[in-house]
Amino acid sequence: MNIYLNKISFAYADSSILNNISMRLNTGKFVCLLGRNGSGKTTLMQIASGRLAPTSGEIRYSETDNLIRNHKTLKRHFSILPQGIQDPPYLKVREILELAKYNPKTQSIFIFEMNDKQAIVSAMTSCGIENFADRPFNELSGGEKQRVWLAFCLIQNKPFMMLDESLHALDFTSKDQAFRLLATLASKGKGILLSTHDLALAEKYADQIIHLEGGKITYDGPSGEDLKNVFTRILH
Amino acid sequence: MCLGIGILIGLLYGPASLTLNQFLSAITNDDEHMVEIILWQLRMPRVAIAITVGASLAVAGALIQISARNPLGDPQIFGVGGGAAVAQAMALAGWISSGTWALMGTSVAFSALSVGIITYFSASQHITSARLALIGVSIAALSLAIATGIMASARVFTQQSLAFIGGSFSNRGWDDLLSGLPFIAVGLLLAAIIARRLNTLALGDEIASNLGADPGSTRLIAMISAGILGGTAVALAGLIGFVGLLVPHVARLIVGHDSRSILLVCIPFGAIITLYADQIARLAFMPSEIPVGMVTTALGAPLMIYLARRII
Repeated sequence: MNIYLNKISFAYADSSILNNISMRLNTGKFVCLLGRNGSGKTTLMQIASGRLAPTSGEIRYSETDNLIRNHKTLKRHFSILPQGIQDPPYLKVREILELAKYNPKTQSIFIFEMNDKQAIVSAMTSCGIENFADRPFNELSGGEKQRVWLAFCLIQNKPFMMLDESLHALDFTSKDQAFRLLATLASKGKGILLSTHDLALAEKYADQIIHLEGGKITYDGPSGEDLKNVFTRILH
Repeated sequence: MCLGIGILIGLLYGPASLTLNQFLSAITNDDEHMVEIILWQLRMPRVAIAITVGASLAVAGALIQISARNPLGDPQIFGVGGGAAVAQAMALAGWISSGTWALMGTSVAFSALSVGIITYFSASQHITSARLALIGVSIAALSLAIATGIMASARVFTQQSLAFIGGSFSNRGWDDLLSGLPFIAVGLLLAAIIARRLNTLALGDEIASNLGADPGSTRLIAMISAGILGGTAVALAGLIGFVGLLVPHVARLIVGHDSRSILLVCIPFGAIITLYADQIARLAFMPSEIPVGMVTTALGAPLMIYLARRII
């Protein structure tokens, strides 16, 4: 599955946030979005996942496909981890993961079919949290919490995962493990878009790196010499 | 069983204790006129109102705790009953009609106003649960200050003021209960409609919305329901603290975190705690009565401290 963003711009009344952005998201690819604070990463992610309508530009499923007129329809293709998630009060890990199976049509929560249970067990195994099921979420370490949220996204079984600086608070080892896990998930077919400030890990694990500066894409491609040149230019 | 024993205590014991025979003959409408009045006109409505108010406060507390993601959720603490408190004070001062139906309607309308203010702030995306609690506490304190000011300026009798501020079921009859029941039914119906959706609010608005739930409308309905239930409870019994705060935590401890189970269990638990608290308020210092809110607070505070250390 693909999602094409073509000449996307976004502006508030008095300031432009994104300017003429074109990019493509593919399933099976791990994409890292880099850029300074305020460069437009979060806005771009919100638009790509249907949580925000662009001021101008087009979004399609393929270059020849019809225009997506209602941006909210994109939501169903994305599981998201927004910035600054507050710990759910009281809940145990298992209860949080069960909420991932919320169905707005039947509003069913905590009522499961066998497939749902298997999906939860499988996601917990993939993220290495199979022993955490009955632990209160707020007693977990930062790294463990992130793994629970990754399992939460996996259970939703959507083609794309979008993580907005979700790994920034982790120590280096936990962050490295999380990046490795995301790369593994991408190799199994998940499309992943992660905004991060960690260039070293992005270079190590991501299939594609996009760099934003002042609301424009200044780099879009694999890690390599060209990317180093972009960052050298920014630093100097 | 527990509720049944509480009801029997409420009906049999008091300044004029009844024997089981007297009770049975009054029930079967025999000649015991005096007993019949005590039972049908005084004690039965009081027991029924205690049950109704307890259940309403507990459900309102659970709705606030879940929708605001805040363990301090309570109709009194969050100020959703604050509007009703002002309306009650105005009625005691003789500023507005103290007719049963008019007063009940005014109380619920004033509560809706409090809910409107709180919901306006809670709908803001970046509001934290601590800030929301502070807004609620401010509105609750402001409402109580206005209510106390009104009663002081109108020189309302101390006993009446105390019964209102401390909460009391005395001098309440079937009329009061009947005027409150439609509001409570609406409040409970709204709670039942959103009971399932409430679970997703624990995840935060952005994730809940991405799952297809509608956190904004869910929270709005929850707060309206809590306002109706809390406002009606204040109109029926004054300010009774700790029932709305404590009971949802006890319910959570027993049935887990599914909102539907919590709301369901809050109904009997709230009713039982309030009913027994009223028996202590009535009987402990007979023939005098102490405010029932004093008893719920005296019982609830130590238990809440224990729960706070253990689960929050």
